[in-house]
Amino acid sequence: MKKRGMALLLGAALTVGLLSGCGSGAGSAPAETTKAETAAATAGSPAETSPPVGSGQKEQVQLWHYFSASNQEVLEKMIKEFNESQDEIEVVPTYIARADLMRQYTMGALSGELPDIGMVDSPDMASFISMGVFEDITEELNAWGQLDAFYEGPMSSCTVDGKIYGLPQNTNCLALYYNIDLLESAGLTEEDVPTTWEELMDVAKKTTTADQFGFAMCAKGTEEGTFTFIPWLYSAGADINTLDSDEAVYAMDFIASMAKEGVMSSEAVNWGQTDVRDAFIAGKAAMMQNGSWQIVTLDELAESSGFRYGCAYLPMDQKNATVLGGENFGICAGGNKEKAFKFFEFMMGKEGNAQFNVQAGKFPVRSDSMAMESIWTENEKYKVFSESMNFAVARGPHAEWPTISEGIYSALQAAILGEKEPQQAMQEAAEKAASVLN
Amino acid sequence: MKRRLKDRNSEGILFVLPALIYMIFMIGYPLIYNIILSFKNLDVKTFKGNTAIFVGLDNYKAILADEVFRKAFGNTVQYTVFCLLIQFTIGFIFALFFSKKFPLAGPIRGLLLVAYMMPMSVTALLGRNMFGVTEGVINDILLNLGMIQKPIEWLISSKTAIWSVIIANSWVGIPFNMLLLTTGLSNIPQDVYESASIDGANGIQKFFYMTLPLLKSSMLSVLMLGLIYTFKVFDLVYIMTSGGPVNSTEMLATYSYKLSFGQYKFSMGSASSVILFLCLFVVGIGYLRLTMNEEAN
Repeated sequence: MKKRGMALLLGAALTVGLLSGCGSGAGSAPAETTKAETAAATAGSPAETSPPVGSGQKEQVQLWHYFSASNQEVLEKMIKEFNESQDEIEVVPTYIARADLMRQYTMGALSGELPDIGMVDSPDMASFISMGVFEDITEELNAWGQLDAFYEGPMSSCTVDGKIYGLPQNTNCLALYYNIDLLESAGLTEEDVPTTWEELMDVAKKTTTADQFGFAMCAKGTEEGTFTFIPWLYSAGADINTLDSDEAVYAMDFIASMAKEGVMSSEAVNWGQTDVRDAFIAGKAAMMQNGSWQIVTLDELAESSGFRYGCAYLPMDQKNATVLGGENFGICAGGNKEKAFKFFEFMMGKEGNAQFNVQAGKFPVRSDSMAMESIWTENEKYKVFSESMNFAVARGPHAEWPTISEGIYSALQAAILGEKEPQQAMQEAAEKAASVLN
Repeated sequence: MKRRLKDRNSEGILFVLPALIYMIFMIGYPLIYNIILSFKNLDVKTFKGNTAIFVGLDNYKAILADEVFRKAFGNTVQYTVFCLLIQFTIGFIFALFFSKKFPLAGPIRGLLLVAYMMPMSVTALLGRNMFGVTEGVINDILLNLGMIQKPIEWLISSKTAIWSVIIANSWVGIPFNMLLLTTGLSNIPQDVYESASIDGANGIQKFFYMTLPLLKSSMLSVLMLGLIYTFKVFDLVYIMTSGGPVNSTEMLATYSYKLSFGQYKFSMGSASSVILFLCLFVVGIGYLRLTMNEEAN
C-alpha cells in the first residue's frame, strides 16, 4: 500500500512538472530560444528593455524596434516625450536584435502575437506586407494629408499595389570615405580622390602597402553584401532585371579585379559594414565604401584622436549611382490602429522626423524636415550624402527580394574569391532573380 | 498472479504517460506539421490567409535538384564523417591514457571537459576569432612554429572553411567521446586482463582481442550519439561561417533555416528538414535494433 502511495505521489509530481512546463510557453520573451541566442550573438547585444509599468489609465501601444546604442536612446527619449505630452496613449518600446525581430514578425504573422507598431529595414518590408504582418493605412495617411512631403524613394518601400502599409522613418545611402593621412603618405591630396572607377583603381594601387589595402568594402553573405553591390551595378548601367547583361558582368568583373590586384582584401567576404569601418579606423584601408551613419562615430574619433577623413561620391562608371537604405515603421495587423497612428503623427511629423534624424546622425525622409536643419546641407560630409540621395536607387520593393538578394551576394562572394568567373556568377544570379521577377 | 501483473502494467503506463504526452505535443505535433507543410507550397505569396495548397512531391523534386542543397548534403556528410573520425580516435586515446592512474589524471580529465561544457555560441565566436587569417591565434602559432610559410585562409577560402568548423567541433566533441569511453573502460574487470597476461598475451593483443570487443556497446553508443548530434549541427556553423564562403560550409540544418526564415520559402525549408530527419531516423532505427540485440544477448 505504501509503495502504491509513493508511486501515485511521484506520478502526480511528474504531471504537475509537465503542466507547468507547458504553461510558461505562451507570452515568453522573444529572446528565449537558443536560435535567438545564436542569432543575437551575431547581431549584437540583445538587451531587452523591460516595459515601464503602465500608468493604469493610459492605453498601451507596443512598439518593437532594433535600434541599438545611441539610436535607441534617441528613440526612447522621443517616446518618453510623447508619453508625457498627453494622457491617452503610452507607447512601450521593446528592443529586439534585428535577426530575431524579423523572425518574430514571421512567427507573429501566424500566431497573431504582433506589436502595434513594428520597425523593419526598407527592403524587407515588401515581404512582410505580403505575409500580412502590416495593415493597410492608406486611408488614414490620406486623411493626414502630409504624404507629399515624403521622398519618393523611401516611400516606395512601404507601398504595394498602390496601398501604403507604413512610413519610412530615416534614410541613408552609401558613399566613399577616404583617410587623408594615408592619401598624403602616398603622395596624394584630396584633389586626387577618385571620381571614376579607373581613378579608383589607380589611387587604390598607389595607397596599397604591406600594412594596408587601398580600398575596403563589405561583401558579406547577407543583405549587406547586396546593399554594397547595387551602386556598382547601377553605375555600370544595369539593374536587377539585367543581371546577366554585359554591363552587370563588367561591374562584377571590376570588383573581382580589385581583389585580384590586391588593392582590396578578400576577407571582405566575411566583413559587414561595421567591420569595414573598423578596418578603416585601424588604418588598414585608405578608402572605404560605407554608409552615412558612420559619420557620427568617425567624427567622435576625429575629435578625440585627430583622425582625418573626408567623404566623396562613390566613383562612377557610366553614371553616378548609390543605394538607399533606411528603416520603416508600420502598424501591424490586429494592432491598435487608431492609437498607434496618433504616435505616427508625432514621430513622422515635420519636427519629429527632423528631431530624430539630426540626433541620430541619419537623414530625414521628408523634404520639409530636411529644410529644418542646416547640418544636412552645410556640413561638408553630410552634404556628400544628401546630394547622393539624388541618384540613389531603392532596392525592390519586391516581396521576394531575399531571393534576388541571395543571388547577388552569392555572385559577389564567388567573384571576389575567384571561385567563379564574373560572367558565370552573374548568369546564376540572373537565373535566381528571374525565378521571382516574373 | 494475473492481477498483480495487471497492476504493474497500469502503474508503468502512468509513469510513462507524462513523458508520452510531452513527446506527442512537443515533438510529435511539430514533426507531423512539418511533414504536412513539406507537401504544400507555403511561401511569402501564399502566407497571408494560409492559401497554401497541396503540391505533392514538387518541393522534394525542387530541393533535390537544388545545387545548394546537394552541396549542403555533401558538406554535412563530409563534416560528420571527419568529425567522428577525429573525435573518436583522439577521444579513445585520451580515455586509454587517462585510465592509467597517474597523479592529477582526474583533475586534468575534468579540465578537458570544459570544452564540452561551454555554450556552443561561445565556442563558435572563439573559433571565428582564432581562425582569423591575419589576426588569428592559430595562424600565428603555426607561422611561428615554422609549420606553414604563409597564413592559411581558414574562414575565407571555400576549401579550408569546412576544416575550420570540423576542427572547432572536434575540440568540443573529444571530451564527450573520452567521457563515455572512460566509463566503458572502467566497467571492464581487471581480472580478465590478468588471466590474459598469464596466458601470455601482450599489450597489443590485449587491446585488440579484449578491450575492443568488451567496449563494443560503449563504442556503438558513442558513435551513434555523436553521429546524430553532429549531423544536425546548426549553431556552431551558423555563427562561425554562416554557411561559409560560397556555401562551402552550408549544412542541412543551416540551409533549412535559411530557406524558411531567410527567403520565406517555408515549404522548401520543411522539405529540406524532412530529408534531414529521414537520414537520422534511419540511423536511429539501426541503433535501436543493434542495442535491442545486445540486450537480448
